[in-house]
Amino acid sequence: MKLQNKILYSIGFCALFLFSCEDPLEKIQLDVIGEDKVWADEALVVSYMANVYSIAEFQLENLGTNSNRMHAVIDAGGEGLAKNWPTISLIDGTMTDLGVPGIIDYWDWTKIRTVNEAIKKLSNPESSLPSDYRNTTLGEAYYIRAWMYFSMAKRYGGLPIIKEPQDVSLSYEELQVARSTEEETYDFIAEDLDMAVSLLDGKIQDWGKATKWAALALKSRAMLYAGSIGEFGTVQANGLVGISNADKYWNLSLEASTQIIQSGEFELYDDAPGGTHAEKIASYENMTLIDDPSSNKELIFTERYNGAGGKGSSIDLYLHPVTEKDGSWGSNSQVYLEFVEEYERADGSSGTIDRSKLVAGNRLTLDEVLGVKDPRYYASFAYQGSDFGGVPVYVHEGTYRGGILGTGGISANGIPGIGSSKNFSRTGFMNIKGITRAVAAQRWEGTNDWIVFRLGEIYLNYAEAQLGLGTNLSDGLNKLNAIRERAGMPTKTALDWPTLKHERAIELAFENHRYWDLRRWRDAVGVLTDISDGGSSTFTGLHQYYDEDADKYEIIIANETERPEPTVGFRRFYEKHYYFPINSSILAENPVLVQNPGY
Amino acid sequence: MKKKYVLKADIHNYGFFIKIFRIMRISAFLLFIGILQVFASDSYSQVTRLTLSMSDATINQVLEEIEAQSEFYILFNHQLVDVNRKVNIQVSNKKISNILTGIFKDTDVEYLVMGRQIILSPEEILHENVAKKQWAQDAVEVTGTVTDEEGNPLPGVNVIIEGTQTGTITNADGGYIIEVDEFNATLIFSFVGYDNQAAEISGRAVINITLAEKIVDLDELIVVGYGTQKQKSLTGAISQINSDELTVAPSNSVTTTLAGRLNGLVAKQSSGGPGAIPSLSIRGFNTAGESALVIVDGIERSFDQLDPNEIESVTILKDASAAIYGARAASGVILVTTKRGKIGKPIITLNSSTSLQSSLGYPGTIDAKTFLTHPLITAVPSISDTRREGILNGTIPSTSFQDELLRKYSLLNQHNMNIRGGNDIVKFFVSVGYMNQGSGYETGDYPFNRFNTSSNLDIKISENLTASLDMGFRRSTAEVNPYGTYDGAFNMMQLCWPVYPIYNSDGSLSVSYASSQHSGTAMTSEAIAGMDRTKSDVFNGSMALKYKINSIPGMTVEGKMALLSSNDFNKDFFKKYETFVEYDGVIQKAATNNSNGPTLSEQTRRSQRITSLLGVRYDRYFNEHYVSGQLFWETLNDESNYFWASRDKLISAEIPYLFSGGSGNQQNNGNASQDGRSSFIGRVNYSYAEKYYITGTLRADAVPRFPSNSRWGYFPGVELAWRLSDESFLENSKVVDYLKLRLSAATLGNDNTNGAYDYIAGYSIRPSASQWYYTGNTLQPAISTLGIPNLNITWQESAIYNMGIDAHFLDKGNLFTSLDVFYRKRTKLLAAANSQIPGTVGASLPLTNINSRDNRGFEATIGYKGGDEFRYGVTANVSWTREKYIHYEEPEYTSEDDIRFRQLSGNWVNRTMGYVFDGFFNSQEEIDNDPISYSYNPRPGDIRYVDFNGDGVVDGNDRTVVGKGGTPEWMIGMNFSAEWKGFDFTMFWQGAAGFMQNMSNWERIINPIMNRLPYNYVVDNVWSEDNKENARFPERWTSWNRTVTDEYLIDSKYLRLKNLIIGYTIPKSAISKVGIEKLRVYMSGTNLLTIDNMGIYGEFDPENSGFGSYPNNRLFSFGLNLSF
Repeated sequence: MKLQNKILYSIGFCALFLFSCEDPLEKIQLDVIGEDKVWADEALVVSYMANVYSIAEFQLENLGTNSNRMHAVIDAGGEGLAKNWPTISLIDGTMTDLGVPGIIDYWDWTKIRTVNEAIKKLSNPESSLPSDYRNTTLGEAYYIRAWMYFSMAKRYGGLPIIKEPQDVSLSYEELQVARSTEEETYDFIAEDLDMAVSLLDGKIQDWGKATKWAALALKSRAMLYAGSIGEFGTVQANGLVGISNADKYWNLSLEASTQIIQSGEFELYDDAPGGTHAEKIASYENMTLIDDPSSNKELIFTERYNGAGGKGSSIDLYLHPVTEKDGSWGSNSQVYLEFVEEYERADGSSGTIDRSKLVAGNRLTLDEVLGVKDPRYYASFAYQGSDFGGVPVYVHEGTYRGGILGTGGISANGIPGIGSSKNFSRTGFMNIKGITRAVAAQRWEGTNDWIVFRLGEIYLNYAEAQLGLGTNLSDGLNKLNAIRERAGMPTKTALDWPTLKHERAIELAFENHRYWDLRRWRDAVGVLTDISDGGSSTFTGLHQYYDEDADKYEIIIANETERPEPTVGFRRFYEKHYYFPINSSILAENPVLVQNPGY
Repeated sequence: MKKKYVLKADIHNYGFFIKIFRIMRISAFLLFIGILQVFASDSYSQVTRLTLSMSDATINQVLEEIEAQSEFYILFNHQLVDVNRKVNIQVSNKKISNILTGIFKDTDVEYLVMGRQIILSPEEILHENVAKKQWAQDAVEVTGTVTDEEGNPLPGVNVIIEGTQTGTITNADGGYIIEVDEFNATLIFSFVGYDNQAAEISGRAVINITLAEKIVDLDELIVVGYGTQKQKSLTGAISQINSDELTVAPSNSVTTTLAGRLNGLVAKQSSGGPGAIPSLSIRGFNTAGESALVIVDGIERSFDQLDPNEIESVTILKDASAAIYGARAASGVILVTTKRGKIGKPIITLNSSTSLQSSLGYPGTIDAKTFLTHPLITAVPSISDTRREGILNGTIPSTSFQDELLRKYSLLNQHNMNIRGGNDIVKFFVSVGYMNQGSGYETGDYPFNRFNTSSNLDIKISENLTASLDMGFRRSTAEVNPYGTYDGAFNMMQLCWPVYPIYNSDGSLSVSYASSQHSGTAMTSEAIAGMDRTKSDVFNGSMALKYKINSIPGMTVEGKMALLSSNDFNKDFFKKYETFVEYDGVIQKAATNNSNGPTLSEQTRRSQRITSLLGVRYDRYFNEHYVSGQLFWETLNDESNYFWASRDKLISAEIPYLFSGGSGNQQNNGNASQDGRSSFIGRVNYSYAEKYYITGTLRADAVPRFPSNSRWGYFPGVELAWRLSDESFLENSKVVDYLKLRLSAATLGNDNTNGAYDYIAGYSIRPSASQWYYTGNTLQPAISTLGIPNLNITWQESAIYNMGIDAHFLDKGNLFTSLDVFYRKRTKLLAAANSQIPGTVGASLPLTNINSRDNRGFEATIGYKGGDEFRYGVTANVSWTREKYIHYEEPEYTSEDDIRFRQLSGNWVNRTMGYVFDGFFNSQEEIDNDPISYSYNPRPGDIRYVDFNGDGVVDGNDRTVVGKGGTPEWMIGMNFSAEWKGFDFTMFWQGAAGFMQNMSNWERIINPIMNRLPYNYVVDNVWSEDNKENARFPERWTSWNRTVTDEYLIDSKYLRLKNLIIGYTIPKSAISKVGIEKLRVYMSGTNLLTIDNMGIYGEFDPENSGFGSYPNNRLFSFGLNLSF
């Protein structure tokens, strides 16, 4: 080959390489879906709505981001005590406008913007989406917006009402929206739910999606809250908090509850009508565990989980007690002895125990202390020796051998020398309501659905609304007794506030009701404040030590002050805490917002 | 013809001007210079006229007459040219050509006029070659061309006959002719900046020579990005380190060697784990995600896993010299050049070393007896009363997990073989290397190893065309414990309770920490815990062509195409294991770790980068003017793919593959990304008389991650240098040998920021299924908005100014120093604008280019070298740098407290905020009487803090600046070296200052709540009723006692004997018989001695990062370098 050609070919070859490359400036981010595509494609709208559902946080606790959140409401409501201490300022009265309530905060306006974006796009009459699909999805969006506003209203009171996504190119002043009154906020919630009911009427939806009944259930609950705030609260700050017309909302709640009850779509779960104590325990346990709506007609709306590899719940992992069979985690929510006592005995008598027997040197069994209790207690608790998925749970803190207490790990009478420190370190009782009895799933791998609305609550809402209105108490009492009968407990003869509040505490225990109920009834100042600090409650647990020879236990009271780090004061709930503070930095950046009273 | 001409270089050659005129079409500037040159001279043979009138004269007489009348000298071979022939000649005022044509008419003798030279020869011989061997024995004419290694002609090379004063100089084309009267004479070719070369003539008439560049001081070639420059003509702040220094002592990575050796490079080794390397930053430009750009042989890629033996040099560009890298250069540039072939016979080099590594150590932890008896340690271990008694009375020994689980020494082995050589057609460098760094664990598990191979070829296809083909492959295998990185293992080992054994009497794994399943033993054992192994394969290949354009001397066109392909395969295999507790011979299970195990996840990441470069270079001297320029177009295309899958409950731990996984919890995921860059790069250098230098650069960069309207960035830089030492007033100075001032300024950019693609409005799939929604029986993926786009997002901008001085003193320049001062201001740093829309809008504004910061600092080097038979040198360097926030987007703070400890704008970056320590509360009475209230209920033994703002309350508002941050502001390096009769000695000290370690956590707390194992020094100095006066540590573990305070912020400045090397090179005479060129054996030590200020924390390494990290190593090495 001639030299000249050699050079030419070589350079030509080189140039070929250079120019055969893609244009480096044509590169894109591969995982981005262009905005224009989304609202024209049904499949992408489904995905958009999946996000809207997901960020609504029906389970409240976004388990993925913070394991502590799932215990926070139980902790705050005085039912139990979180293993860790995420909720200090929420329970010790130190909540200020700096960064709290933090753990159970719900001041996230991106949620509202996201759902508003959907409402705006789906309301567009020129949308190319099929109108039937568009309307159904719009109904879901209204339901979710109502859920979000309700979640905020129960924390903060009146809110800025923003019905569509704001254009950020507007001036700073134009973008500021002042808070409406709490009454207007609840009216807005009712309005959205009415839209949802009408758009979803007659629609068959996949389980887990909003339905007409879910919208009515939310209306039943939200209006009940408004009613009780009207009944027990006071109007302050020009109506930003407080409601003046209780009856209006009692009626709205009653109406919604009535529609659900009368529809015949739902019934209280009971697989052992008139059954024995043991059968009732099993039945109630099944009610909390069966999440298939075809075999559990009590369910109205659940947040669904399919477990590992998909959308899994972590609640199983965190709450199951640590047993021989599995796990290093768990036992993260421990229940106060006082809340155990709130459960009546099976005969309907008070569950209060005789604490004078609980002294060092006595040898007892837990049954001797507690007696035979409401079946719902056994269906919801793990405690010393209780069965969990076929294996016993141990919470004792040591064993007496030849009269000497040791903490060595050696078994006696088939009972290990010491229970798992995870189990005993707070109170000795653990909440397992709705927790799978199988060996604990890993984080994000739980499959149990989270019950958001079930008929049992609607019955109690109905009873409470009747009680609030005071016009048809016997009708209300019937609904409350239906709940007690299903649980296998003797019926009540009269409907009054203590009866209703007790039943609600027990029936809806650990389902994220107690804290909000105590607030809206304005009972929290007494119930959530330690007796030594002017409140009406104590917060204790049990120490249990096994005695090898007696095959019984030394059981003594564990006081909350025994916590290794007594940096946290006793429980305190002040009047101002009926509404959460708005973080001062939020107020600083938005002058039209007004702080709640007391902060 | 016995004249001995000492010829002057004939740069006014006519042919040269033909070429010059071609260039003129290109450049008016060159034209101007060219014309000056044209007027300065003309072809001698064209203007010289002769008048001859001779009859019956021999040719010889005629030629002598011509030489007498003119400056012509005539060369010929008596045997071939008949000079005794008689001729008649009558000419008047004729050109030489007319005369010669006349007298040689009708003969076979041809003539050739070259300037003043005339060559006579028979036609065929002359045309074949001017100088064949048939020339007269007593006067050989030798001709040839001298080129550099790249084939460029070298003008001005001295060609001298050995042992004489006779010589010549090459002309502009590198050509020379020299008359030699000894058949066996030797020619010596010498040229500034190149190694001398000798050539025995041995009767040859043509001797072409390629000179190899000499690497000495000022003539050393420095890599400057897209080219090289001589040290003396450098205009920027550039430091370079060369191969011999990089391999001076064994280390696991070239980056480890760099600390302290390159002035301006800040390095911190925070872990000594196998394969762990220090973090590097140039001049402290190390804000997260803004590390220095690394370029290896022109390609952006990492260099820390290259074999140090493959590397020719590492250069850092610290100022405007980095501007040639435009939008990636804001944090400086590290240029790595690998070795290439050299002309010469192949030399095989073996470098081999073995090092004993030992840990620099850790503070001791308490023994079992203290654990059981110390009142503050309330942990209750699960041990029998018998064991407890035994520990207390000393019959059962305390277990030191660190002693049991760590070995005293591990090995670091390094071996490399390379072959280097070539001729004027092919030059090659091939290398293969292996490195293995053992772990410090007794099990020997979790080592790091690396295999490197590379081959660099340069092929001269023709006189003008050169091809280079480079290929390299590397595999590194890094292993760590799956339950934590190697640091995690050290962390866990320090938690283990000394009351437990390692194994129970039946050989089962004992509980080691509370009754937890975690086990220090398992953390060091692959057999128990499994492993997390990453195999990284990196292939690089590049092809470059260079074409020298004949018609434009100094002009080269070149193209390069390079592929970098990396494949990482990671296997994360978690075994399930159980711990047991032994209670008087009865052994029971205590806990299970990973009950879903064995679990396995595997991931692969493939990424590929293709870089293409096309450009021209021009490089030319015009008398005292030197002009060079480069213009390139470069594109870069990146793509990467990632895939991950995992399964639970494998059938057996012996089958750690995905197919053996259970059917439940099978997961997988993947992603893909791409990126690109298009750049135009230009540089012009001009210097006059090697005294005044100017360099101008301009680079334009575009990346698709910014919108098309703000995608192109233009980054100019200018550098000026003045060599004062060549000015007349210093030229003859006995003191100053060399003195240069440098000034530079540039705008640099950083487009590798987190706002990539922020201009696109769209949605992305939420990454985790936990954020999706499950309805019916369908898991519906969720998409969420990417937020409000920023349609104008762009790169960060960085202006850098540098002033430097380089000087060599004394006659030989034995004393040398250099000093650089710089200032860098960065603007357009990304931050979310503060409070521009209310939160209730539900959207946040995108990142915008609003923040700014600046750095300032200096570097100084001073050194001396001298001696003759005993040669020695000492070099010391020091650098300082500090960064400040100019504008940091933050709320407008109004309270004095906020301004003091929150506000960043206007403040130094390297600061730590905390409380001011004020001793301990020694009694309840003291607390009760304290007029100051605390945001916490203190108890005796707690720390008391100063009420800094004097408001009567100690709370978060009493924080203030209590010290510096963790990045060293001062870096020091000192090198001493000496050589004597084959012995060599090097001592290298490295130090850092201006940084602090925060001993806020485990380092200072006896921890009854977490039941961890305290350090002895804490126990010895903890506050107690009996030890109030001398207490150094609070009694309890609370968040109050753990917070940051000046008391526990330790100034970690240190000076460390990094390397001590003693080597001996066996005399050549002793080994050359067996064909060995060079044999050196050496011993070295690394991290031998540290002088620091750690006080009570003295057992911690000041360079390391406190509790739980893998300590750095001390190395004792033995090695040899062998060449044959």
